[in-house]
Amino acid sequence: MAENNALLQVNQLKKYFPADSHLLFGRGKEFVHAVDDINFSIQGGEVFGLVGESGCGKSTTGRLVLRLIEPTSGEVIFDLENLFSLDRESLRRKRRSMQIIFQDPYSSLNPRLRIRTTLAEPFIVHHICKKTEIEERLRVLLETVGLEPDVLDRFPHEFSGGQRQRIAIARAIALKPKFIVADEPVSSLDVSVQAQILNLLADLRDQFQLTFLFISHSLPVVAHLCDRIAVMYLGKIVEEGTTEEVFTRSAHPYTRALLSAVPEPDPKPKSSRLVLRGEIPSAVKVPSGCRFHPRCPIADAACAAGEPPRETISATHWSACFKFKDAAQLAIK
Amino acid sequence: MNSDLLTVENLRSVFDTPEGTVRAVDDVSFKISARRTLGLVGESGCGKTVTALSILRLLQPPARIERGRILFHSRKLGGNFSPGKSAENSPSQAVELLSIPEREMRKVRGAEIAMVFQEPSTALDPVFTVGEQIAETVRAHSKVRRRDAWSQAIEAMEAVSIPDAPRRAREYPHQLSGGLRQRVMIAMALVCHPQLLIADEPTTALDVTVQAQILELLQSMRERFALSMLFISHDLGVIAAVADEVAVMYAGKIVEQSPVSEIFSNPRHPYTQGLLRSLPTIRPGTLPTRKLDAIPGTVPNLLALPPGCKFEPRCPVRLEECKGLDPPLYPVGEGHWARCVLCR
Repeated sequence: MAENNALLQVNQLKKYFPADSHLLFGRGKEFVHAVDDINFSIQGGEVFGLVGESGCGKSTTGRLVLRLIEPTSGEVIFDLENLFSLDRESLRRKRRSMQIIFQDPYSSLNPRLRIRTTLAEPFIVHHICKKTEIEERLRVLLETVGLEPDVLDRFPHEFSGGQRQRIAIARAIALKPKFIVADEPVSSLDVSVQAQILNLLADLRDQFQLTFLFISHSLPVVAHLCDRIAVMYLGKIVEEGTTEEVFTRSAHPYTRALLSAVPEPDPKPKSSRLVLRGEIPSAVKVPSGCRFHPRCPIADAACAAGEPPRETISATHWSACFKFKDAAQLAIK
Repeated sequence: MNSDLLTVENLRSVFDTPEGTVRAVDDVSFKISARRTLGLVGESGCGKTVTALSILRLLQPPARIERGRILFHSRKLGGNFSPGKSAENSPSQAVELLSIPEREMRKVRGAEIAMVFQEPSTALDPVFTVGEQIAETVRAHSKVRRRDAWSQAIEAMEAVSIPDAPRRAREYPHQLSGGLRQRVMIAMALVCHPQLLIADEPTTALDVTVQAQILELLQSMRERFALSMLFISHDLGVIAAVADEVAVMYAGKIVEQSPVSEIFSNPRHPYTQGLLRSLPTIRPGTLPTRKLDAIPGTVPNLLALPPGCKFEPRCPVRLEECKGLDPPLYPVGEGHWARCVLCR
């Protein structure tokens, strides 16, 4: 992988949240290990998927790479500069080229502002163009996301979930950013609308050569849009590879269990579904060794003792599993 | 004895709003036979949950049932009460649930028809332990001593594979994970040995690996207690895994109904076809296509429904006559109906 022309590079990134409820006293004793030493890079024009179940740290990662929250340690190199060493003004300028789309379009749009005000704000804040040009820019912007110009005078509550998400996407691409974090952008939408939004994101990516960090709990959704995928579990990336590698030659038991658990729209009885025991343990007291070992169908004593290294499977594919060869043989269905 | 446990006929449930009366469920009819599962599938606002609440007579104003009949083979009503689960042999007669007094309905609700909701964290009372809540259900339906109700609660928790049930029973809902809470909900629903379980999106709030566990559990409970189920979901994948028959709802109406294999291999209504095509799917060993086949437009506002076919504005194969004609369900095969003029 040509690391040097990566648009975004994440190095040894960690984020621990204090887990004590007593803010005054017991502070600093226990931590939620939300993101625990992760590394990845995204090339320009690439869609990189981050997939995992709730609480695995994927949204925290999304916020860290935009420096919406400060890390415990580590660096995020965006466009050759470490975001965490930038001062306020340089960060503000940098943010023009990075944007985010949230899961819930009902809470991410200000209910008191007309769509015009919401969408014009980025142009004003970043002094992009004259006031007189804004209207024309907004018209073009709306056309790009498939909305009519008459939406400008309306309020968010007048729109359906899918239309709101189109508005949120319009806001994100208004300043022609290079990089967008999409945090579960279709999870709150109905099936028939979800497909429309996924198609829109794919079109925008082609049209503007956008780079995406696409965060989702849904493997089928990730598979449709992403070039490469990283699977997260309890704050760690456990497997990374091209979409094809992860879906057809996965070599981590957790990834295989996720693939197996997706209900397919096909009523033929499944021969053997790989159903995991238990649930994701607490991120405060993380299991020793491999964090997945208490739920893993093939774990042995070694897995509880030490942390598995990245086992290389191909130039683009690795798995953090001691038994990656056995894992690759686990039946999915 | 007729094998149809539940028969819903021409059910119409409405909401009285300042802008007018909205038909959330319109002319819905279906049957659920003993030990069978009917999957009710559709997008948000299509009337799935209102259908379920109508069966249990749990609709609150401004919602109400306007017309229809709901026939249910009750063990308790009609003078043939036999306690316990061995009611198989006692002849029972169908009771029309919409015409019995509330006092009678209470004997059915929870004891003979139970419900599991989507969000276990709001369906459980935060100030009582889960054991107390299950035991309370038992005591609401039979005269047993507190201690016996408690041991029945533990038994029910063990039946749904909650590890260390006697200890877990003394815990409060917030101390349990989402998956365990949903198991508690299922234990509570099954503790009185109902004949019919209504499961309303029971796995939607759960992670996919936990969802797989709960679906397995529901299947084994169904075998063990000879349950019939009305299983509501927006997820066609989940429906495929649990249902014997499927009814697809759109804008308050059933638009297609068929055995489960038919709906996936031979969908006849353009909405069903569109839903299946728009679904991002993965099959092991194959890569998904880049572009999804989306259904254009959005679900119509129930206050301003199109006069003809409700799906007409979004339909890729609409005819001129669809604008004015609201089609009935046409038979298209064995146990298979579709509400589309193309199926005439």
